Amino acid sequence: MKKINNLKKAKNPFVFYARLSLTLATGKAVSSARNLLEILRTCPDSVIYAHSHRFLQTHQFAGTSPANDFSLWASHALGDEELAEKLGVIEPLSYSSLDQIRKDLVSILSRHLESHTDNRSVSPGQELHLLSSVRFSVSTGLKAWDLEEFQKSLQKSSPATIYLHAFESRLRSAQGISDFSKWLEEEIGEPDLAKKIAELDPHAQTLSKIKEEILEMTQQRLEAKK
Amino acid sequence: MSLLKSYRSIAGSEIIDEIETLAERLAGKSVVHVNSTKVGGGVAEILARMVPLLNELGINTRWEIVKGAQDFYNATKKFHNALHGAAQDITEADFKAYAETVEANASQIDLGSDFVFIHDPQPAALVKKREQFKNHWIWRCHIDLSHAAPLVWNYFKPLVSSYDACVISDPHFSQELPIPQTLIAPSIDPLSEKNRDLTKAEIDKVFSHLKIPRDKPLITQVSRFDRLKDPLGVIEAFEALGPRPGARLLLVGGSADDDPEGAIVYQEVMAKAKGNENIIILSLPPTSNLEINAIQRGSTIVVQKSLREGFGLTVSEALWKSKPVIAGAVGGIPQQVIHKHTGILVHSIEGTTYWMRQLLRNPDMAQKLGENGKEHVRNNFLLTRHLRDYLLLFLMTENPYSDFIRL
Repeated sequence: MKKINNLKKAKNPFVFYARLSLTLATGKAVSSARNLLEILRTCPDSVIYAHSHRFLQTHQFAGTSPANDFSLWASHALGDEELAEKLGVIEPLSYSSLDQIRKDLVSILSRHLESHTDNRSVSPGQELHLLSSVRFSVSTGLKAWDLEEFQKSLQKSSPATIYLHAFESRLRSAQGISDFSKWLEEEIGEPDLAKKIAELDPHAQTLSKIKEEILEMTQQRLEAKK
Repeated sequence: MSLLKSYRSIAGSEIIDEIETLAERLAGKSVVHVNSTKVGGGVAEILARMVPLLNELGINTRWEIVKGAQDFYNATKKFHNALHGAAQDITEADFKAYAETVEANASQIDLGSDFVFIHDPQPAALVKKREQFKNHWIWRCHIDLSHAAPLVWNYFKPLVSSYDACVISDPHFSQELPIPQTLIAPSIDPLSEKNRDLTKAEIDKVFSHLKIPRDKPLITQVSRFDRLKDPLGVIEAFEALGPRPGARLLLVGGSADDDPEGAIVYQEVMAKAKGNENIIILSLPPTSNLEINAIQRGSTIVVQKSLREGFGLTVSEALWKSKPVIAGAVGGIPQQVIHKHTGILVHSIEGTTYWMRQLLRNPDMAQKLGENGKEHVRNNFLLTRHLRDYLLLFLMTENPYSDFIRL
């Protein structure tokens, strides 16, 4: 393929990593909404991560399922559909910090329990076993200095790379900006492309589909520069 | 073509790249897996593929087994059942036979690899020898420990606590332990004889050879003849469809080297099915992988009505073949079967009858469940995901006490 000559070169390359994780059982389990509230107030961030971000990576097939494990448990195990609906509103990848997810979960549960004093419990065996995650940031060896190289590297990237740089990286940015959007705008002057990528909805489609969309967007941009 | 590359078209190139990247970080390391049988059962099936793949990735991997006399296998079968929660008559003699046999095996097996990966209770006590080595020890438990009998768990708990980490298949199996409990689901191998694509002619040939009639829809359960798989409950559920069920039931299984109870349960199943021409019982040798593959593919509905289950790989096998699955909501099965999305979860014999009837009447629903199930398995329960998780596990044990590891 012919190289496009007038592409802006970055001062700092985009270095592609993959986010992989292992899930651990904490040995703790909750059997009621009140119980869950108590745990959520104090549990480590890695627990919030496992039941939100990690959950999404393994439940991509689900489509219409809730975007977090707490909502799914409230529906399937606790049988509290009202609580499940309220918790289901929380879409983890739109947050810029795990602590904010925790605060919103705590707030929803607190308000729900103020108006529902029955404190129902699940049947034995239906408890929510709390998980945590060990996260791995794995260098893929892929690097890009301009938009063309960015697209080529993206093509070789796994869903775990797309997930990290398009979504989870929002957790590292005070403004909730992803790695992709930040680099495209600040390093190679592509604010429109950065904005379009920021608008992709990770809860509505699989990571493979999102990768295809980003590839299509970058391809269109490259065509325009020819 | 290398073994690993042959998975690219099925599992996706990206995961193969990830596996290769992780393996580079472990190049030159060595692993020894230890279990109790090389033939029969899910553990042996997984190791048969996992070991060559690890070697191909540059991780020097061996597979050893502990061997014993009949008293050892009797004891470990009782321990296995008791850890699953079934009442067992366990005596001091059982613990003695166990301890002496493992001790004898310890002198026969080279445990000096960088990672010693022990599977299930049978070889668990080998960890007593770890002080002789400066290496990492991992215990892989395939059993549902959520109802473990205290007598047996109290015996194993101090042993397990001596490992660096343990691996369980489902969070419900977690215990209070001082070591990390990693959740890694087992997997199926999409290229194995048991799961590879088959032509219609291959399927027909197996049915013809085994004389399985195909005049009616076939409801099949594939599993060892084991009480925890509830074959008698499956027959009861089928019989409750009435005198004209509009289907046949096939129970197909075998036994593993380490399962002395199989023959007894097989006789009970034969007696229960006697006189019902719609019920077929087949006992096949543990090497009948092609036959099992063809039977699953030729079935209309697959049942796995387990009462206890470590994971239940036969569920993923059937889902991979796009079959609608009715399965007991126990152990690791709910990870594979998301109720009414990737299959049907049941809690009783009556529920099993109800859903057999519903799926026979609603082939469109049955088909959709099967399609969803296949995608779910592709994302989460193939050997490649399992291999990647094991590589991450090795890297985690090299970096203890950290919840963020940069590689």
